[in-house]
Amino acid sequence: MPAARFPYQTCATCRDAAGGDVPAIEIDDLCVAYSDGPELDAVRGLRLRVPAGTHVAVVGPNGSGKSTLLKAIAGAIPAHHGTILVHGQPVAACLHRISYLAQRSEIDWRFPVDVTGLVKTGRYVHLGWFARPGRDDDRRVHAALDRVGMAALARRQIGQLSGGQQQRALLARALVQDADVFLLDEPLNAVDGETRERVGEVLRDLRRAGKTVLIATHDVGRLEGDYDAALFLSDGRVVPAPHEAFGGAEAAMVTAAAG
Amino acid sequence: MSLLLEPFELGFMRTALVAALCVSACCATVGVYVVLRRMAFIGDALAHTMLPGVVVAYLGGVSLLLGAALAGVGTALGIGWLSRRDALREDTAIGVVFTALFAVGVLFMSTVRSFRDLSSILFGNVLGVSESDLLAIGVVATMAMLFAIVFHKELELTSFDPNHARVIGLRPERVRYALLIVLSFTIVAGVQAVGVLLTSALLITPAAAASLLTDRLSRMMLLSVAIAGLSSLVGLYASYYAGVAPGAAIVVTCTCLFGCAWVLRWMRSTRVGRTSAFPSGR
Repeated sequence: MPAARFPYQTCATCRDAAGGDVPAIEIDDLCVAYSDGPELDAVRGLRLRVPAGTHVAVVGPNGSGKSTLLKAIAGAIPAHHGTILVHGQPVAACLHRISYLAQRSEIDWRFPVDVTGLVKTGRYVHLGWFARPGRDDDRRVHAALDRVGMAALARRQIGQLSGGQQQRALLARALVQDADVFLLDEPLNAVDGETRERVGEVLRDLRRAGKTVLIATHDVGRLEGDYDAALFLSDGRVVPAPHEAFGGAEAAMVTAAAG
Repeated sequence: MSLLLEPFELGFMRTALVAALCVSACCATVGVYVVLRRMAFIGDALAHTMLPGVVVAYLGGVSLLLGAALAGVGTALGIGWLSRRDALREDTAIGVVFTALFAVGVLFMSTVRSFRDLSSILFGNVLGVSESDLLAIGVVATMAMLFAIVFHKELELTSFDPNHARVIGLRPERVRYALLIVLSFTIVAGVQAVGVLLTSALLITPAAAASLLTDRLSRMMLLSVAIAGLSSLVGLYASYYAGVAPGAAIVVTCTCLFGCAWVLRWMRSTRVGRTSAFPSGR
């Protein structure tokens, strides 16, 4: 795929730099907090190592730091302290390898844009300044909408979708970014059965394609079987699994410890 | 027909028409983003803070447009700086800055003996636009439209999903500053046509009317420009035949068209409500 001529942020080395053994995500002693807000939802001294191709659930109650962790890895908020490496590169170095699916509440759904337009913004990271989406971008957008079962609603204004449909539109946008690491913030929160099913299918696709996935949820009950490991957060720190659903075998895949 | 053409046999009326149409086009285009990004208050504030710049320029004998532009850009940057990192909420920062600058402008004005030239700043004087003013307005309008076209996808994305913009390396704050600067220049042009006190009407009202009629951004911009252009034309006729102030006539026409848009939307929603239980997606 041709690189953007005027990228929003240049990245020189990333595509070829990833060697076989480099973990997809490597976090050391990470501290993140919003500058002014309450101490809620901060991350305090977190260490994490996620091998490429693993699917990890990030579990914890509201305010435990799940969203903050994902945002910091995505580069949406800066780290106060510590390091984050994505495929061996600092966060800002290769933004197009990361696909971040925000919570629904962070988008202005009344804005006059249709589903296709929303999904197309997932291609912008490859387009950069001045370039317009082309035929190839349209094709990818269409395929992604098909995958999440939203092709019939492609022309609908985003505010006229149900919660589950909005979530699937966002998932389609995450897919067209063509990334290696997927950070999904509560994609299963308050959605309908069809959306759950579609999200499950997409996750299986991603696993087959060898993509790394971090998925935040507070819905522990539905995790079993779908993930390689779970990371339990409480008050910004990693805590042991609260019940027996996750045995010691998974812990070997992801090594995490409170700092 | 001759009634329609007669006013524009006069040179100054032709200049006024071209100026008013240019101003309408750029105000209405930029105004769509102002409405969608909920920046109506800052638009109004920028128009008011032009005043001290204009008065100082008048006293110093430099171009009034230049003074207005400097004051506008200064305000845009100042508000951004005051409300950075949420030290103050933005609307509070705007409230403090714009009233202060407007007061300073009035202070300066009260030292000038003749208010005649300056009243055209408060109320606009589209009939007195000079050739160099027209040139400046044309340049501003072209620049603002080009900005909206070239950076369409960045403006759109940062408007509805600044978080996604941030994670792909497109800094929404920078887009916002750029928009504020373009907005300042647009308002300078608007002040020429309808004055400091009414410029925000030209920014907000056509865009608001268009937003009632469509949920497609490109259509919204075209409609907004059409509504503003039509208002300018009708306003100029009104001022020619009824002898009323053209700026006010333009704004009143605009508001009437907004009322029409409101009625159209209401009629459409009751009709849809009768034929189907769900609003159509179109």
